[in-house]
Amino acid sequence: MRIVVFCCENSAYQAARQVKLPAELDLIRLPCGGRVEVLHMLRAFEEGADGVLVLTCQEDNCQSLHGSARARNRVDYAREILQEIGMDPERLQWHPVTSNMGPRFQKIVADMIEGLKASA
Amino acid sequence: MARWGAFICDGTEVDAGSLAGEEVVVTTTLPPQPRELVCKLIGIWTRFDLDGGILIGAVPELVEQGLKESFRQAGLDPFRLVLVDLRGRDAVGKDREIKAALARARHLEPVAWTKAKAQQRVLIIGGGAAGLQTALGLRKLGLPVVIVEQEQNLGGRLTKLDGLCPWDEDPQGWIRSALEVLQRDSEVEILSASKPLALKGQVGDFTLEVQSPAGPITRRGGAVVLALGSTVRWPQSSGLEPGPHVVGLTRLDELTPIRLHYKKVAFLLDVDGLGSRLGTLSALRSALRIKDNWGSEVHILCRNLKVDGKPLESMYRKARDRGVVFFKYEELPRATEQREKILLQFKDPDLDNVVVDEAYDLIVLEEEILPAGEDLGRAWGVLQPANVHLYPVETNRKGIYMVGGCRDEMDFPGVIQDGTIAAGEIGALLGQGVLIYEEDRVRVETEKCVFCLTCVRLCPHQAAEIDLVKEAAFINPAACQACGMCAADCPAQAIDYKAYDNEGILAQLEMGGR
Ligand SMILES: Cc1cc2nc3c(=O)[nH]c(=O)nc-3n(C[C@H](O)[C@H](O)[C@H](O)COP(=O)(O)OP(=O)(O)OC[C@H]3O[C@@H](n4cnc5c(N)ncnc54)[C@H](O)[C@@H]3O)c2cc1C
Ligand code: SF4
Ligand code: SF4
Repeated sequence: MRIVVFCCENSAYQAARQVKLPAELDLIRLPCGGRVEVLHMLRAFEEGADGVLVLTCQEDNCQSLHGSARARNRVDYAREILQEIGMDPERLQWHPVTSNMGPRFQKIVADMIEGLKASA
Repeated sequence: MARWGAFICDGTEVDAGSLAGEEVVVTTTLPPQPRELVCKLIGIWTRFDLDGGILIGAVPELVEQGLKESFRQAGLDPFRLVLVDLRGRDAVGKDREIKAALARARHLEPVAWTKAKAQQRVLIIGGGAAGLQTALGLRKLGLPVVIVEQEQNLGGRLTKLDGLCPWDEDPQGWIRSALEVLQRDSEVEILSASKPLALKGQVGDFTLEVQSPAGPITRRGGAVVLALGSTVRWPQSSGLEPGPHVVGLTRLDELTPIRLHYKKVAFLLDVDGLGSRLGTLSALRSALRIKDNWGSEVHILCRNLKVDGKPLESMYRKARDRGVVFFKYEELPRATEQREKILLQFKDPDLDNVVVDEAYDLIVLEEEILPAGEDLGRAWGVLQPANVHLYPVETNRKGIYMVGGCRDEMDFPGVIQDGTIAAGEIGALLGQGVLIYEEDRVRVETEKCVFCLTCVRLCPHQAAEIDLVKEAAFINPAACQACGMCAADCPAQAIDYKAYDNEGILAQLEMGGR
C-alpha cells in the first residue's frame, strides 16, 4: 500500500523523523504547506498512491501565516475533484502536525492505512 | 553529463554499490562529527568539481543550517546538495527515499548568490521604554539609530506611571538615564513631535517618510522597529462615565501622588471580562499608593483576580495585610449616583450571594488595554501574530520588528527583554553592513506573467512587488522567505521556485511509484 505524505519542513517533516515509518511511505518535503498544489496531489494518485496526506503546521502557527490554511483549502478542493470522478475523498486528507508530534504523525498514517484496508 | 557525488554519513546502513550510476563519480563515507563532515564534504566536492550531490543519513536541522552556510562561504550552491534523512526507515523505505531524492536532485538548477550592501541605520518608531531599550542595545552593537516619536517628550506610558511595582524601579529615573545616554550620542537622531507617513523599500534599505515639525523629511535604514505601545478603551458596558467620582485606571496615576480626600475608593476590574494581568498589577499598585497617600478605605471588585507568579502574589498579600478588601462578582455591580457618592450594589458568590450595598467617593474603572498602531501595521503589511515561528519580536516582514506593548500585553521587565532581543537580532542581520541572499531562488518569468497580481496580494511576507516598467510581478529576493505560496497559486505558472519546482516534485512522485 503506497502512501504519499506532503509535509511542511517546519513541522510535519520534523515529526516524521522521530518515529518508525512504514516501508511504502513516500515523504515529499516542502518548504511550507502553501507550496502544495492540487496538481501534486492528483499526480500522486496517478502514480499509484493509495492514500495521500498533506500535513502542515497548525493554522494559527504557520511561519508563512496562511500557508497552512491554503494547503487545507486546496485539499478540500482536490477532495471535491476526487468525489466527482468517483474516488473516495477519504483517500486524501489534511491534518495539522507540529514538529514535536511524532506519535501523532504515526497515528495519522496508521489510521489512513487502516481506513484504506477497511474500504478495500 | 552532470557529475554527481553520493555522500553517506557513517553509521547509516546503506549499500554504496546501490548508488553507483553513470553520473555518480564519487561515493564516500563521511565522519559523524559535524565539523569534520562539512570539511570532508566540501573538500571532495571541490576536488571532483561536482555539479551536485546527495547526502544520506540523519542530519539534524542545526547541522543542516551550518552545512548550507559553509557551502555559501565556500562559493558553492547549497541547493545542489539534496539531504536524505533516513531516520525511522527500514531497508525498503531507505531505498525508496534515496531513489526519490536522486530523482529530485537531477532537477535542481543552480542558484545565484548576491552580497548586497545594507543600510546599518535602524529606524525606531515610538520612543517609549521598548523603543529606548532597543536603541540602547543597538548602540552597544555600534548601529546608528533614528527614533521617531509623535509626542514632544520621550518615555511613553512610563512617564505617566506613579511607581513601577512590583519592581522597585523608578520609571522616571529609568527614562532620564536612558535619554542621557542617547542624547549625547551623535549616532542617535531623535525626531520628536514627528509622525511616520509612509514606508518604502525592503530589508536592508527602507525609506521612511516622516512628518516632522520642520516639514516632511525622509530617513533611510536597513531595519525598522515598531515600538508603538498600547492604548486603552473605556468599558462602555459599565454604564459609568468619567467624572468627579469616576476615573479610569490610567488617569489614576495622575491623582495618586497628590493628597486627596476620598474616604472610600472602589476598583472595578474586569468589566467586560476584558480584564488583564497588567490591569490587576496596576490596580494593586495604586491601591497600596492610595492607602499610603490618602489613607482611604479601599475595595477591589473583580470577577477573577489575575495574579500569576511570585511578584503579583506578594503584592496581593501585601494589599490584604494593608486592609484592602477584595470582593468577587459574577453579575456586573449596579451603579447609582447618590449625593456626591456612587452606590454599588452586587452579590459576592463567596459571601453566599448576599446583596452588598456600598457607597464610594471614587470609583476606579479598569480600561481595556489594546495594542496601538494597528493602522500602521495594516498600511505597511506588518503582522505579528503570536506565532512560534516568529516569536518573539520578528514579524512576517523581513527586517521589520515589533517590540513592547504593541506586540503583547507586557510589564516593564518584559519590555526591556523585548528591546534587548530585537537589538541582538538586528545586530546579527545588519552588523556586517551586507545582506547575503539567493538572487533567483524564487523568480518570476517575466514573459509568462499575465500581471494578475495574485502573488502580490498573496505573499505573506510582502516580498512580491509590482514592476510597472516591465508590467510584471517582481520578487524581491532579499525579502522573500521562499515559502513557495506564490509558485503554487500563480495562474500562469510564471513563478519558478528552483529548489521546489514542479518537475522536481513530480519526479519524486514518479520515482517512489517504481
Ligand atoms: C494602565 C497601565 C498600567 C501599567 N502599570 C505597570 C506597572 O505597574 N508595572 C509595569 O511593569 N508595567 C506597567 N504597565 C506596562 C507599561 O506600560 C509597559 O511596561 C511600558 O511602559 C510599555 O512600553 P512601550 O514602549 O511598549 O509602550 P509606550 O510606553 O506606550 O510607548 C509607545 C510610544 O510610541 C509612541 N507612538 C505610538 N504611535 C506612534 C506613531 N504612530 N508614531 C510615532 N510615535 C508613536 C507613543 O507616543 C509612545 O511614546 C502598565 C501599563 C498600563 C497600560
Ligand atoms: S501571480 Fe503569476 S501571473 Fe500573476 S502577477 Fe504574479 S507572477 Fe504574474
Ligand atoms: S516564495 Fe513566499 S515569500 Fe517568496 S515571494 Fe513567493 S509567497 Fe512571497
